[in-house]
Amino acid sequence: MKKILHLDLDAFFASVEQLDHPELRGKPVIVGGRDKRGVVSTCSYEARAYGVRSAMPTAMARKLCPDGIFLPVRYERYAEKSAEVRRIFTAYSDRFETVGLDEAYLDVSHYENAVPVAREIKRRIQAETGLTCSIGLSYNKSMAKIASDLKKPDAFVIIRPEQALEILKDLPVGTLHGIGKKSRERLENIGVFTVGDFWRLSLDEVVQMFGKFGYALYHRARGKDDREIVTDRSPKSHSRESTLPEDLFDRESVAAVARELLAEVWHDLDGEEITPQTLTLKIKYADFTLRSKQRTARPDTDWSEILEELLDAFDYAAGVRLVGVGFSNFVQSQAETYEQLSLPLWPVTSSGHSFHAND
Amino acid sequence: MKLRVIKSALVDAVSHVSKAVSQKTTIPILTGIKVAADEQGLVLTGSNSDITIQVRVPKKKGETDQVFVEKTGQVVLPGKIFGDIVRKLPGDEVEWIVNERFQTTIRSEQAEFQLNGLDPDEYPRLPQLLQEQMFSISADTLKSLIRQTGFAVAVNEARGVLTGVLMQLESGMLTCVATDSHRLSRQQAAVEGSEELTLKNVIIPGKSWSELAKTLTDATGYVDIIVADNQILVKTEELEFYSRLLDGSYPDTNRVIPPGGETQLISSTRELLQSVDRASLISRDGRDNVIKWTMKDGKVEVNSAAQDIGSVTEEVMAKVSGPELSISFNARYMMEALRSIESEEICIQFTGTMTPFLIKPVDREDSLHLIVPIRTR
Repeated sequence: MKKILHLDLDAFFASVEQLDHPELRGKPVIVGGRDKRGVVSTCSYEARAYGVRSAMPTAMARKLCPDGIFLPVRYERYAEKSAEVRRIFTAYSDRFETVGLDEAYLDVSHYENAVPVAREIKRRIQAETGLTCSIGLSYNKSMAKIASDLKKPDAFVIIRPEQALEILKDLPVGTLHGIGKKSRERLENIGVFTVGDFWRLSLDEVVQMFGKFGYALYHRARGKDDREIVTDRSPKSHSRESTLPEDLFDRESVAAVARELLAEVWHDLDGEEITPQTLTLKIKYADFTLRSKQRTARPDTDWSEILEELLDAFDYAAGVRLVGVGFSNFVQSQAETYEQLSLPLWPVTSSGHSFHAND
Repeated sequence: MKLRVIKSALVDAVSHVSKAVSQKTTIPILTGIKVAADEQGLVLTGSNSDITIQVRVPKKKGETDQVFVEKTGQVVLPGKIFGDIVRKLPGDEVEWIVNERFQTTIRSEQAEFQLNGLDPDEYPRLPQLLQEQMFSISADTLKSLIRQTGFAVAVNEARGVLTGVLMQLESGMLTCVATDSHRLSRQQAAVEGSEELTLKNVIIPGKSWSELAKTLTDATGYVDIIVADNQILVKTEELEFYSRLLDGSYPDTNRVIPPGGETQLISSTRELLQSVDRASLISRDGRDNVIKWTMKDGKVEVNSAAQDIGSVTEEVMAKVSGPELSISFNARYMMEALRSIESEEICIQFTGTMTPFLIKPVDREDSLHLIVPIRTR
């Protein structure tokens, strides 16, 4: 069984402000855009008591909470604190995935008992950064997130597989990640208020309402989620380079090395569900000056032809000591661009990718 | 119970009922085969609670004696081992004795087996179905109905009623529909029965449907079909096949079947099938097995490409009318539909690149397949 920990920093931006400005502690702090069209980014729990919420127009927050302390967003400072927190939890697992500055998933499957690990992470974050967080520990991403949300703030909740359905049953359907306000309203219109109500919808009905995402939603509502942790270390580029045993002075000799490197990088990409759109050729001359040229092209391009064009663009007379070939600018692989359409068999108000044949 | 039976007749009967017997059942006695000997002969029953198959081995088949019952009686024998024993018995005739404690002796030439039987009273009783909702259909027609619809049911159990085949009867016309929402197959056939008999929303589990086809492999003549609230019974002279029906209401598929299409293609079923089969060599390992057709004047251009593998292009002669059109779809759906069609020529009607298209044999109106295309970027 997988063990996934979801960590959510409580009222993160506002908490950092209260940490940096002790006089603000215990007061309604609202961080966000302060001009006419600004919206609330985060507000302290004191401000939430007035009904202020994230994503609410700042003007409305002012009406609800006239005594609130309105502060601008200091993104760099939050990123700094976020990095402090990250340094703590990454010590426990190298399989983690951050979501924004204030949330992270951590794979702790390698611990026999992950409960003390979670407690330790929580205690250390408080002691070392002064921030509180809510942690959910469960057997997949979706359930871990639900767990961390259950008793915020400063909470630690474990959901075991056998408890999942019982806990899910009475939760508002909007708790499910991916059901926003609009979808919630549509569901409520057909009498679906809780996750338990949602179970009554068949897979087809859910897919018809939510499109492809409906498959995931149908299963997540039943406590099933097989998403893996997408580690943040997934490379932004794939490249290979080679320092030559002796300097090369002509295109063909360099080209032979570059072609081999291209084949290796291409091989590296095997099995990854990404396709590059940019190829870079890097050349370091005998005098250590570095030149690189790149070409961007469609994902289904024959990159060996592009490589030849790039090779043509260099001068070799000065002597080449290093050649590098790299791919970047990735898109999801071709396979993702196909979508099997479905018949609208069920009379649900549809918004997905279906159609009515008799329209 | 004491009797003698011709081995070949027994082997046939056991192999039929074994299809319904599963080792994985929550009711232990259902791993067994029930055997009953009466004045008319021998009756074997196998069941897995979804499907029950009962086979009669009559005293006489034509002029030949098959069973000689000396003493009537019943017993339940462990299904798997009993089946294996019967198949491997050395002689042409089997002698069979069951005592009061259901201990069973099976003898054939030099071999003698002793088997511990179980009390037949513990075996679940067959549902008693009222004969009110009954009609008859030729076995060949029924087999063809199954063959042309069964492949289109949804496989995933979460899909509910779509894992079954819908059966409807109105004015003597039987309609069977199966769809997994990506493709749909509908077949009709005339049946014999009361004109007034109307059946709606009878949903037979896809597994039962294909199992029924296997059970009927050698059946000829007419079969009777009886439908009750939650059971269906298909009866031949020697065989009874019961299946539970699925709960729930099947969606109205008439809504989603287009009336026709502007672009129309008429071509040879075999040539199209072979070209799709070839094109899918390139794409079959991909998730959706996508191939593309482009309808042009006098031909269909077939294309398929897969990253890392390669591509294929070919042209198939066809009568094409209406506007030119390109459409991508899952090759497997097309092959399954084309394979089930017996006619030499088919007509395919398209309503658009992103809308379902219809496949029909040119020479008949009772058969229809529909495939929903794949959206490509």
